[in-house]
Amino acid sequence: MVELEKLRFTKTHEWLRVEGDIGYIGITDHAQKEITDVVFVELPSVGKELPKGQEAAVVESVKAAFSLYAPVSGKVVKANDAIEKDPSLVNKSPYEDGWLYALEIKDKSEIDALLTYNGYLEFIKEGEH
Amino acid sequence: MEKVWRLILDEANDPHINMAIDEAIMVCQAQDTSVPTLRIYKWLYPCISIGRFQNLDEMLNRQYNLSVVKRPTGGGVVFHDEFSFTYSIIYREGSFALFKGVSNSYRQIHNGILQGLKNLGINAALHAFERNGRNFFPSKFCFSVPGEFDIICGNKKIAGAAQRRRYGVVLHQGEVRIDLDVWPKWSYNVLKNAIVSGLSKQLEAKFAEGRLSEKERILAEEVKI
Repeated sequence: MVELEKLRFTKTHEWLRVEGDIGYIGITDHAQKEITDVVFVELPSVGKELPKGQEAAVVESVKAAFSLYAPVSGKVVKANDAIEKDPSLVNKSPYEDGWLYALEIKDKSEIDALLTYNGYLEFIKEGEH
Repeated sequence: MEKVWRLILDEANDPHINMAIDEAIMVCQAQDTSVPTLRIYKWLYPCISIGRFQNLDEMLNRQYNLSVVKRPTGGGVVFHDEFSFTYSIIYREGSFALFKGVSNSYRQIHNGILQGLKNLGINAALHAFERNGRNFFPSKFCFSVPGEFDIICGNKKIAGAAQRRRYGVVLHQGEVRIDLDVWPKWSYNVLKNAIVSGLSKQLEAKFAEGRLSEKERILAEEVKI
């Protein structure tokens, strides 16, 4: 079971899980509910350098095609092939099997600027007003 | 309070330039150099547009010799001809409380179009969609199966749309297809005026006719495939 308090979040609804120098990235449960059934995913290629905030992946649901951005700078080291075959994993398991790609994090200090889980929940709550 | 939107009434264009213009407006809005826009446009010749993830261009184009263009948005195959009423709506996410949420933006926009169609006496409705917990995989053909908040007339889908959300900007591309046996009752302009007025009321928008900026025009030429 994923411990959400250990993840960091962005205002564009990505999560980041740090394991050593590697950061795994996906979309939040709130985001998958909002965009509904995911039907295609376009992932960055392994080896690609992504500066923080750059468009990294595109997720298409039955509602829309959404761009996703790199939460921190780094080099792509893995892409989750399983979700290219079964995009519904993003809906079924957004924090675990539905991860999108992993980065070798360039500058760990960038992580501090990301939202904590509570901060993200607050951010979503503000948006509902 | 009514907000002022730009209304672009475009001429018939090449399919590739039609898509490039929508994309250019989206990019310029992301750079804060454009304004919320309703664009209504026509097609220079019959063609098919496909979603950005659909890899059907080769088959449709080479094998069947059809003119095919890829949309910047998602979704399925859409046929465009002189009986298509095609439009795009481009705005910054979060700039209109009315559009909050993805599903809601579809509902609001299609409600506006529905009002217009109803004013012409077309007995249409928004499609009520039952989410049954299973993943819904839409048809490859946009108009073959109605999705949530699409517009239906009887059992038939008559309006559908797709969206792209990028750098905080929403590009909503939609089409209304009225049955050919019903269509001759009105001209394109009657349909256009009814839809613009329905959207204006529903979106609390005041439309001021305008043109593409020079920057948008140049960018459209650059992004044209």
